[in-house]
Amino acid sequence: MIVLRFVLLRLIQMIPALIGITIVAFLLLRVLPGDPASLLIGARGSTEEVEALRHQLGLDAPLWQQYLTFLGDMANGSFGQSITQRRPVATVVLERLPPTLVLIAYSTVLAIILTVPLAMLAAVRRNSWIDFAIKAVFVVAMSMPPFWLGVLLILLFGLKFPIFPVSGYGEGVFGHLWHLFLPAFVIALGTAALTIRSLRSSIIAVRTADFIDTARAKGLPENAVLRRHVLRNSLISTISVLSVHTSWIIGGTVVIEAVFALPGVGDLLVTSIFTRDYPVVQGLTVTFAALVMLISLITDVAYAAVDPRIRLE
Amino acid sequence: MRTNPLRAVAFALLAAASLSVANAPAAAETFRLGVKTDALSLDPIATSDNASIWAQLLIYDQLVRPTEDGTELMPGLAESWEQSADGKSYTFHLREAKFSNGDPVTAEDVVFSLERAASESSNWSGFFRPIVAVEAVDDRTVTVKLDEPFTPLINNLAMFSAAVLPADLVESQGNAFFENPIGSGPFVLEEWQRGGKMVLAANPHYWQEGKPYVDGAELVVVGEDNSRVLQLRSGNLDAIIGVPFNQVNSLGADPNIDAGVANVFRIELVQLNTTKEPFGDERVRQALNYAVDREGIVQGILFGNGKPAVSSLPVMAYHNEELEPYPHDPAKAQALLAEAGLGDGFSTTMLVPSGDATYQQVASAIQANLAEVGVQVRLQLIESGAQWDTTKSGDYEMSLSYATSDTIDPDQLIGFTAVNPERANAYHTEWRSERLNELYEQERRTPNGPERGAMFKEMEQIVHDGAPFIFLYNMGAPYASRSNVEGFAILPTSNWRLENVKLQ
Amino acid sequence: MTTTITETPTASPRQRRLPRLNPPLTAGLAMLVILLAAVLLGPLFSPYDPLKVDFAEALRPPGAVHWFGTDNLGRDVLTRVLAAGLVDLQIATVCVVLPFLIGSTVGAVAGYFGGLTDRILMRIVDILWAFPFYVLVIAIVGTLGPSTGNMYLAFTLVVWISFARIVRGEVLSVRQSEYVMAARLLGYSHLRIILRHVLPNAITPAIVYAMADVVLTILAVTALSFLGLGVQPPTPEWGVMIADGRNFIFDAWWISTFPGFAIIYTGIAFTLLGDGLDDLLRPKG
Repeated sequence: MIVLRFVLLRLIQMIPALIGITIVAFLLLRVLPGDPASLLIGARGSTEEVEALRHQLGLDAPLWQQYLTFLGDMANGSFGQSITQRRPVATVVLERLPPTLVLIAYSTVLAIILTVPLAMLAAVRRNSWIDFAIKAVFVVAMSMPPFWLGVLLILLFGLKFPIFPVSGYGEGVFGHLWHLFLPAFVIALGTAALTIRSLRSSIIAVRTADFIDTARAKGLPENAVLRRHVLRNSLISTISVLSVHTSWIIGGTVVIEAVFALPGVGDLLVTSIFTRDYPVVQGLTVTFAALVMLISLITDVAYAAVDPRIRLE
Repeated sequence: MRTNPLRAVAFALLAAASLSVANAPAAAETFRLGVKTDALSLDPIATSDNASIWAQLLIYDQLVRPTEDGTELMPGLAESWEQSADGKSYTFHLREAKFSNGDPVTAEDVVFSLERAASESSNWSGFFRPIVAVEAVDDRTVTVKLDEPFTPLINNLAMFSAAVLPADLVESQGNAFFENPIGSGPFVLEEWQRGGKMVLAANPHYWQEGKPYVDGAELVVVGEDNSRVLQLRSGNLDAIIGVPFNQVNSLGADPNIDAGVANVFRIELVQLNTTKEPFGDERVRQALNYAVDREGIVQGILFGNGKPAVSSLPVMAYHNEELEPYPHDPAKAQALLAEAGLGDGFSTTMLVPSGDATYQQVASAIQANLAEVGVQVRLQLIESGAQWDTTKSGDYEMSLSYATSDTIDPDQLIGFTAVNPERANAYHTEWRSERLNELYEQERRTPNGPERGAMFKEMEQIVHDGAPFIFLYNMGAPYASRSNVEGFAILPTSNWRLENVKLQ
Repeated sequence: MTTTITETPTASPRQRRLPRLNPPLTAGLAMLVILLAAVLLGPLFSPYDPLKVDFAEALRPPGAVHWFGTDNLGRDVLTRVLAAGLVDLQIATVCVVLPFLIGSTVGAVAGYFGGLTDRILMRIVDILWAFPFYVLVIAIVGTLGPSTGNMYLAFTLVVWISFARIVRGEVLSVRQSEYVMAARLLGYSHLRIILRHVLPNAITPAIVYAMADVVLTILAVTALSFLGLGVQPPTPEWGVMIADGRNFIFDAWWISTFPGFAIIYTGIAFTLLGDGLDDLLRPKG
């Protein structure tokens, strides 16, 4: 009941932000210089044809009126009409959403699998060679361009070790997991580079905290202390660290989908920009922003579920 | 360590999966083609992207179609056709063809489809503008009427946008029709995972007896070039298009793979603005043509997968075989420049479309070539939409660009690249030749045959000599297929006829 | 910036400390100096022109003549990597400095004045915060067309919010401090108080963040160029070089491998620099 109220409250709080997001997404493509109509019609149009298209796209109406049309299109659930596909933007976006969602979830899980044990190891063996090695590896990982790593992995796994497919989304749950392993791994590696550092410091902070000393004083063996107290608190930190990087993970999918040719919304964004399908670009920016907000809501709930000290108020 | 129950389950699942693959019934023969981009729409009057056009050509038919060598027309849905003596009307006799749902293709469908293609909501209406009326004489006879003789028209009826659609279904379903389209072409859309693949099944009612040979075809989208090549090598795909130029030879060397390069109707060139000095001088324009090393560019950038161009027309019907490309002759170029009073060379700017790696490389090569004869070129990158506006307004000196033909008749490209005044005023160079303009008028009224051919040959000669462009090359379209595939080829119109493909 | 800190003599909350170089800072500085020397001086000493096309020299593997080999147009890869370094570092610097200046100003104003100004500015920040970085940058650059200027604009529009958030948080805690109160009582102008007393004590975390941001910015600039949305060829740029070399990866691995190494090297240098600055500037305990 409390959870429900909390979620509802947060959803209501999201409304003004959502309106702001629609304004930004709208202005992005209207206020900036460049006329979509003349870009769209490109090499084939005359001045009259461009004018006709401007009218057809509603670009000759006053700005506030265009915004209201945009809001209306969102209210009726279509988000407008795709120029290249002549279908509702919502349909176009929704059918491309699943691969991206799977990729986000998959890379988050992989990032956690990499982060938790390595951060704990680094924290426990603080300032040892192993701590240093982990740090060194992930400083490199953080500086590594994901698209470059992607190209190298395609070469490595496509040619030398054909264990993982180098493109496509696969069929069925296992197919998806198998096909998405390399792209998810690339995103996870970059994310882990960020999260391991934060988690390591927070584990160190927890380990030196008072209540751990108390537990030790009570005679609990070090292993038990680590498992029962440190790990639990570290989990909380992991969630909070990950939630900070949500936006980064989601954004990273755009580039990676383009490299691995995955049929997700990131790939759709890049294609739509090259084909000048502005309504789709607009719909996608709103979708991505809504996704970020939704995931931050989920992490907040998860955060509260793990940590009884946090009240859902 | 305890046995992990999860691992046991996973193992069982894997075993089951491999068994089910092994025991699957003899799979229906499906031809899998790797493509670079997905189609956007199956509405033939809405699209201008190649991927959509190619998919539509598998699903729909036109009245007439180009032959495989792209030099003339052959029957499509029309078994035969004749032109009236005054050249102002065509009569088409339909064959007994059926749509994939079993309904017959009628004259009413043709009338509806052509009127739709010429209507205001069509992006391609310009190609059908000379038509004043389309009439159904009876169930299987259609007459197309023009207000004056116009020889190129029949070629426009072979375009994808003139696809014949079932009138009643399009009218009743509206845009939804194109989600699940019905056509009379060799294939029918079965499933479309947008951005992933398009699954096509053989049309059981297709009018070409026995075709398609395969039971189905899949257009699999693999955007990354290396991945597409690797999937062909591993046998996950039966054929691919868009092979990177540098990989054509090494792919062909693989005993399991056949690689080829198709000649397509596309020409790369540099527009020279003849209203800006010194490009008004024919000798300067010719000098630039002598200065550029076409062969070097074709070898170095296209890895041999192209042909040096002789004019602003690719090799297509009525091509003038006697013309030779301008040779790479810097000495001659310098002599011509000196004659024009530019012995010390000059400086200029060339527009280059942004976002295309091949263009940037070609631009760098041209820059290096022209520097050798004292012409300093500054490259200015420009977004392709803005490039058109800029050259159209005349505010440029040189511009690296291309032209493609949407039909098999050279009329479209001649009109576009050599006639002034016309829609593009000799493709924005403002170059003009009265003789050529005259020939263009005549050609459009002359029925197909040697007489019309001679006119095109003369026009091509005039363009070659007048050199309003630096003629670059005809870029080939590389493709590759596994050796068990027979009958896969890219046509000069850039599409492929998958009904001819056999798997062994 | 350290000099500015020492210029607030009255009541700096922090002990004056001699800047002592720590290992990451030393290593980072050393790497950066080497990098700058290479990209600034390298092209002067190189016998090759990064743009000169020479088909006869195309696709040479790394060796004594061309240390990093040549690309398919016969251009020397080492010379291009160095020339590209200058381009990338310039872009990255502008793409960090502009948002740093704007974001810090907004953050300081919002934090110092509080109230309605703060609420409005922070609402804008919150809204922009919801857009994933890459999505917004790609949408802006994609709409405006690929060019360096548009990249500056896109990064500034998107990244300033991070600096605004950081600086505002710091300013909030500094605002109530005795010396700011004292400055107010003395009747100094808001501008003077912000510039002389608030910012110097609130800017450190933003500087540290800026170093990390250089790494992310270089990755993003090269990624955009890789996708064809950033720097346009033939201008040498690391991401473009990787994209250009991609189709040659089977038989000329060097074209796209070396620019990748260059990006990683630069990333490590700035990460170390950031860590070192963090240790140096952040108050301990």
